[in-house]
Amino acid sequence: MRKFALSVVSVLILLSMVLTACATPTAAPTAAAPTAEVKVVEKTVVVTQEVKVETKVEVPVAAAERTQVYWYIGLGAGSQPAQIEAEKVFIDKYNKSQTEIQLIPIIVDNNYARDNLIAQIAAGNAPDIVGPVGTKGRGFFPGAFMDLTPMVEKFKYDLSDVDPKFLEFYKDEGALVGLPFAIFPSFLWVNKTLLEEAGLDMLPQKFGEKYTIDGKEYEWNFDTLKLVAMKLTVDAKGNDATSPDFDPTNIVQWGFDWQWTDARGIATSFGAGIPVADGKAVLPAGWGEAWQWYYDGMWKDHFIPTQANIDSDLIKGNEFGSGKVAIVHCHMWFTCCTVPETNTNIDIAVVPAYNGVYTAKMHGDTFSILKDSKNPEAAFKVLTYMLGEGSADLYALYGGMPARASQQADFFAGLDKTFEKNAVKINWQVAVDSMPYVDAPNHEAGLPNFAKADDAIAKFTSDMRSNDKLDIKARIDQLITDLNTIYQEVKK
Amino acid sequence: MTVSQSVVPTKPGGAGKESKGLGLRRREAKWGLIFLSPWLLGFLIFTLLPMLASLTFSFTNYNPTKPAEMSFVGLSNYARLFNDVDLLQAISVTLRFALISVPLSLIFPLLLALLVNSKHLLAKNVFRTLFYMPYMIPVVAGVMVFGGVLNSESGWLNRLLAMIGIQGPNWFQDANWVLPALVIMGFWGVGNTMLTMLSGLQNVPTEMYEAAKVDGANAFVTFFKITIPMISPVVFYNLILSLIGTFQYFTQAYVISNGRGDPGGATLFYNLYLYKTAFAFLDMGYGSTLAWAMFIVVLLLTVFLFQTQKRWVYYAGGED
Amino acid sequence: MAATTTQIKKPLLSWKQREILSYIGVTLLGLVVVVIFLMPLGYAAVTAFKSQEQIRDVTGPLLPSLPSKYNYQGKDYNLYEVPMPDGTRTMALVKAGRESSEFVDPLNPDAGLVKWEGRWRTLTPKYEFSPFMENFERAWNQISLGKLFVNTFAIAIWSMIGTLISSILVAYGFARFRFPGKKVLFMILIATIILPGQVTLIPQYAFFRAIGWGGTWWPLIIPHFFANAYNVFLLRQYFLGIPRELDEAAMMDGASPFRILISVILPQSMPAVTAVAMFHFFWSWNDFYTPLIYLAGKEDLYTISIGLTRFNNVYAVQPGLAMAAALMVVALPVALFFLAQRQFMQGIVVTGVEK
Repeated sequence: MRKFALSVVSVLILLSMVLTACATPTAAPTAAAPTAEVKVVEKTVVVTQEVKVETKVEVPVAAAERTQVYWYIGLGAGSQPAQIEAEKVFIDKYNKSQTEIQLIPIIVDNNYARDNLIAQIAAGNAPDIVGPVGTKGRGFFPGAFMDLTPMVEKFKYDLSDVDPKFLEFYKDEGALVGLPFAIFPSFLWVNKTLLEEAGLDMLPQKFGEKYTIDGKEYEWNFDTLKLVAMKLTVDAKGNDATSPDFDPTNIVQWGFDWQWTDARGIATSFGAGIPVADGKAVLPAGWGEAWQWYYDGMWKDHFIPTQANIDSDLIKGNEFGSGKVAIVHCHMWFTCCTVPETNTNIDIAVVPAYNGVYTAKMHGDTFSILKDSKNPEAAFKVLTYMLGEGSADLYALYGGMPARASQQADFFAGLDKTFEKNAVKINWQVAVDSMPYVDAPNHEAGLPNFAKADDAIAKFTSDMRSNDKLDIKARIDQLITDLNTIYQEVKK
Repeated sequence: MTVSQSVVPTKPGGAGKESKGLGLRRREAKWGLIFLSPWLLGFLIFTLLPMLASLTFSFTNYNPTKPAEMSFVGLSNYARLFNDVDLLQAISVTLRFALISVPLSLIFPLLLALLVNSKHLLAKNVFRTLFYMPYMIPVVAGVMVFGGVLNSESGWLNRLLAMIGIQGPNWFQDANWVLPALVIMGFWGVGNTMLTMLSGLQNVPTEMYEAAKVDGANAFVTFFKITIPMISPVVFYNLILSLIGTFQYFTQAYVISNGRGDPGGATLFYNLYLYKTAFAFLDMGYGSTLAWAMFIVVLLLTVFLFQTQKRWVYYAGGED
Repeated sequence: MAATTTQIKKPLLSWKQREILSYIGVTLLGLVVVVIFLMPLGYAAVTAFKSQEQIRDVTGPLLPSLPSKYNYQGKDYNLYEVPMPDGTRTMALVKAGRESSEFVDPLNPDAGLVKWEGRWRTLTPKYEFSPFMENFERAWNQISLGKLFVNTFAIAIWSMIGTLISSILVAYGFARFRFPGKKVLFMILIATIILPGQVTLIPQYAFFRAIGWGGTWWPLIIPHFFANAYNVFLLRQYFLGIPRELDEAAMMDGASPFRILISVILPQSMPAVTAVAMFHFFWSWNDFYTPLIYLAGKEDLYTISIGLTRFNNVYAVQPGLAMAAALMVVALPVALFFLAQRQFMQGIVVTGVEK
């Protein structure tokens, strides 16, 4: 509206100036009048006619009689082009499979999904099913999701082959807000081509295994990872980050990053924790060290890309996918985005330990039903289809590892097909082995005044990534102070 | 254009004035109101009622996901305005941006307008179209283009600077450079302002220039003594709109900062903060308060500017 | 405008020569400015012809190029200029190593791998010009650009019709009729220009949802049938400049006010009407926020602005596709602007003093 405003009002001035001021109501308009007249009248008539036709504007008409269930996609995965196609196929399949329910998708780009869902709920127009959505996505809508326990009882839904530890992922403050769908353990994704170029061996693929560099054995911990990553960080002249000649302003390849996560996701590698206790902000053990390690990794040792690096065309949007970052820590769902066409020699490895303890953060996604749903029972029926009969389609679609042990073998077989062209068969056992090292409490766990607390953490993350002169200790203190203030707001 | 002499608004159809030709007057008023009715109706439905609704919200703790907990909180939202660190940051960002961007958003299009108005420029229409063209690129696409051009590592601008031996800044990641970067991005959308400036220039009567020439004035004097005063009304309106625009600055900041005001709150514009409060934090009560506060400030600023215009804006035919 | 006035000193160059020089000088200046101004568009154009891989190769040539390759034993390897004892040879890098790498010479592949001591990153790669043509087609298909065009165009046209009709009526009311409270109403109308959209956003949204218009085009079109302050102001100013004698004459002939508007006022105001129409069209073409809110999720109804965001998804940034789409998107309004420029400028300038 702004520019429009700008333009039009400026025009006005001119006109007002010209017309009111310049007392020369002269030639131009009057002279043109007689010839123009006829035409104009015609035109106006046409215009009015068109207006009458206007009711043609299409409004999609849904099939009548069936109960309509709206499925909101975009809060988590699901709004990428390839996925959208698959989702539509899935929905068609479902709608053809029965005659009671019409499943209707609402797919919103991840960037805008949260704001958009808020607007929909605010206007009393809540969709029924939301998902796939993780702990964090749900955190923005405290109390908006329905406790499914009564439904599970009513429809006798079987939850027996789900590990109770994972059932926790689907509970918010004790309420079962989603049925178990996928879990996404995390591990290191390794670009073996880059390791080979640097003359390095593949990273450990078993917990407890040591790592050998130049014949010397090292514990697999963050010090070792740093060493490896620095060797894998190279400037345009071919110097690596351990060399005194290394030019940090001209890096062409980086060693390591935690891809697509925030400060909590990073810190949890140094020990699971939650930055709140008794309503007060606390710094979990190890987190300060983690952030120091991360910050130094970017600004002192240069083996982690900074925000400016991440935004550059070199690795834009997808660090590991670009083939210019050797190792990233990410989840099982990253099978979506490793770009197997160009990265043809990748494998996965276990996370390093901090003080002898391994922590591999976990994501658990689900589909939930909103409290404001107008047809919760129909929605629950759809849900049971999604997680039962239709689940195989959805696991493939979202790269989620089935939460149910019985479905996992098929899942890995499917993945091997995706990575057919890879030089080696990817060692998926690493993913399975990483599951017991799940971060509890989860790095996405709810916090008081969640949206604001999360915003403060995002701001902190952004500061680390873009400010080269940060006093990291003081900034952490600031974060704790900010969080305290934010927590206090809801206490009142 | 002053709000002062307003009488009590008379109701539609009500006869306010007396005597002569009452019938004719009535008829005229009736027709006038008939023609006005689309706007009157639209104003009522799309502006006045929503405004009243949001004014009401501003006295509550309205959160759309918890409609049941909604209650009146008196003036506490307004008290918060004076005690809000983030708001202070937002105001400071907005004012700093206004300070750089408003003058430039007037000078740059004026210079362009002078260029495309020059009688010595060949193919004027082509130039005008070319300068206007970027304005027609959707903002989202424009932001993507500038994300590439101003990229600190791979962007053309920094590569160009590197050629002359300057290490370009991290435009979008450095808190000190992100506002200038947004200003540069803003240059692209000056097409409209340029056109209005151009029409202003074209409305300066040629005789005035000829008279000046006869008097022996050089180009410099002519520009400041004739051109500038003659186009001052255009400049004035553009000034007002540019200011309003700065307060409402949103899409670019939203796209560039992931909707958060990155880096480190350096792009937390007032409007972005308002949007975050209402739509990310769901604090629609306070959000409405922020919106109203902005409206009042912009209104006061506009009135103030209108007061100052007597000093420097020159209306050839006297004021309306 | 004539510069043929008295000159006291004898000029070095004749008037004609100076005139020609001025043309060259100003036009050159214009060219330089326009080149700098449109540099980002150049970036967009170049990027539109690059594949993701080419975009990532930031040290490569500016124009879309690919490293030259050599096929050795069934696989493609990049070619580099390698300084060898017997002079520089163009060889393919088969096995990269940090401090020493193995190459194969395309002129003598049977010799097998040649070991070269040194850093391959410091070598000059061979490139060949290779524009990537698929972005345009892919961008077109991926976001169904054809459909987006139709949608955006339809919304722009319908809302333009709405705003023209309503704004003309209202402006006519303000320009030609006296009635009590007119001044106050006009003030209110102008004040709405500075009203931040956020003030009315939430209630408006709730209202449209309540009447079932969420997820339809109605909220993007219908409000324009209720006039808009900028347009009314613009048109009113223009109407005021049309001599009243003309309508009075028509009135004597018994024409109704409506008839006068159509047959007297409008024919004289075509430049202003065109300006309003064009401004609205461009605005609607680029409107981002309203469609974002009201159309979210209804992909069939999306407009171009919303469709483009798909290329800016955090997890799938595709600059090549985005730039290709942006170039295609801008083509239509640019053409329109170029064609309608005369009318448009007249609408703004009123009494064109050109030349």
